[in-house]
Amino acid sequence: MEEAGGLAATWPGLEPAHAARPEAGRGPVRDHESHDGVETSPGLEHLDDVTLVDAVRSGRREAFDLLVVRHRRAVYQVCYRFTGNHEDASDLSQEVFLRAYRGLTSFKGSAAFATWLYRIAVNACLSRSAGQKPQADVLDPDRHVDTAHVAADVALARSRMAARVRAAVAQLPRKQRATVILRVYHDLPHEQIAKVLGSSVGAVKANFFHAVRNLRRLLGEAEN
Amino acid sequence: MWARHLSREVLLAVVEGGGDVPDREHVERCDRCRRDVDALRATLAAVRDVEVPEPSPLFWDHLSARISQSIADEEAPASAARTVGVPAWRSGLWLTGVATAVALAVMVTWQPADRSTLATLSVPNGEAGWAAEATAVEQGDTGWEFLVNLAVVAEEESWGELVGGVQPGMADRALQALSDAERTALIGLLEIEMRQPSS
Repeated sequence: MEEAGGLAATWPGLEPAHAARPEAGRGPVRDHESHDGVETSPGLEHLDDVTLVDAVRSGRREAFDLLVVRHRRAVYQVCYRFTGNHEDASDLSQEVFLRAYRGLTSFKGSAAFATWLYRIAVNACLSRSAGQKPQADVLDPDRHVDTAHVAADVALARSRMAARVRAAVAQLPRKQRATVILRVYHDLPHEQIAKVLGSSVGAVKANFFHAVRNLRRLLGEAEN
Repeated sequence: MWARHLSREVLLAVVEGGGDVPDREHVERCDRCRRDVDALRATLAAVRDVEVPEPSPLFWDHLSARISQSIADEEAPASAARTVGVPAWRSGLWLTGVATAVALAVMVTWQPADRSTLATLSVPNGEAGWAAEATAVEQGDTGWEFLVNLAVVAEEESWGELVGGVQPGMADRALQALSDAERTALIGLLEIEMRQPSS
C-alpha cells in the first residue's frame, strides 16, 4: 500500500516562490498525470497554479479541473485527518473545492494557491467539526496497516495505537488540532501554518507545544 | 544542576531537529530537559506513524467528477434549474388541488334543502354517492351544482386524477366528516332519488 501520509502528503506547490514558476505545483504525488476523464486543454498541465487560476478567471473552466487533480489528495488527507472517516472526508473535499471555485476572485496570489486552499480546507473542517464528534471508520487492521510484512500481533498493536492517536487528536482544541495536522502530517513550516490559521508564528509554536503535551497526556491516559 | 531549563519554544525546536548548539548541548547534560525532549519526540513519532488509509484508485476520478459536476450544477442558469425534471403533467396540479379543497369544503358544509324526509338507510357506497350528486343537481341543489360546475371547469384529466386518486372510500370518508344530522339528511335525499322511477 502506498504510504499516504508523510512525504506523499506534502502539498504540491506549497512555497510561493515555487508556485510562481512553471512546473511548480507538482508534488511527489503525480495525481495530475491522470486526467480522470476530465477534459483539459493541451499545454495547461505545464502551467503553474497561479497561471491556472488566471485561466479559470478568464473563463477556462478546465484549468480548475487541473487544479483539482493537483491538490485533491492533499485536500482529502487534511479532511480525513480532521474527520477520521472516508465519507466525511470525501464530502468535505468536494465542499472545499467548490468554496475555492466560488472564491477564486478573492485569491490575490500573494500566498501559494496551496496555502490558500489549506486555509479553506481547515476552515471547512473546523466548521464541520464544531460540535461534532469525529466518526472514525470502523477499525479494520487489514485496511489500516500493511500486514504483508509484519506479524499479525504487531499489526494489531499498530492498528490499536493508530486508533488511540486518532482519538487523542480529535480531543484537542480546534487550533491545536489544526496545528498538529498541518505540522506533523503535512510538514508545513510554522510560518506557513500561521498564514493558514491567521495566527502569529509564536502562537502557532505555542499551540504546537501544548498540543504535543496534551497528546502525550491523552495517549498516556489511553494506555492506562 | 542547571539554573534554567529550556523554554518550550527551544525544546520544540530541539525536538524537531533544530535549535542552537548550546541548546542541544544543554539537553545532553540536563536530565530534565532530556526527558522532556525524549517524551515529546516519542509522542510526535507515535502521532506521525498514523497513516491516512489510501482510498480506492477509482476514488480520485470519482472525486474530480463530483467536484466538476457540482460546479457545473451551480453555474447552470436558475431558470433551467427550475424547469428541469418537472413533469408536464404536474403543471395542472394546482388546479386540481384547488378543486379538491373546494369540493371537500362544499361536501362538509353542505346543508340539504329538505330536512323533512329523514331516513335510516345505510351509507351508500361511493358509486351510489356520485350518482346522487347528479341527481341533486337535477333537483336544483346549489351545492351539488357547484361541484359539477367545478368538474366542467377543471380539465377532464385533472378531474380524473382528483376522483381516481382518492375514489376508493372517498364518499365514505366525506360522509364520516358530516354531522349526524347532515348525514341523515343526505341519506334521505338519496332514498328519495332511489325511489324515483328510472327515466
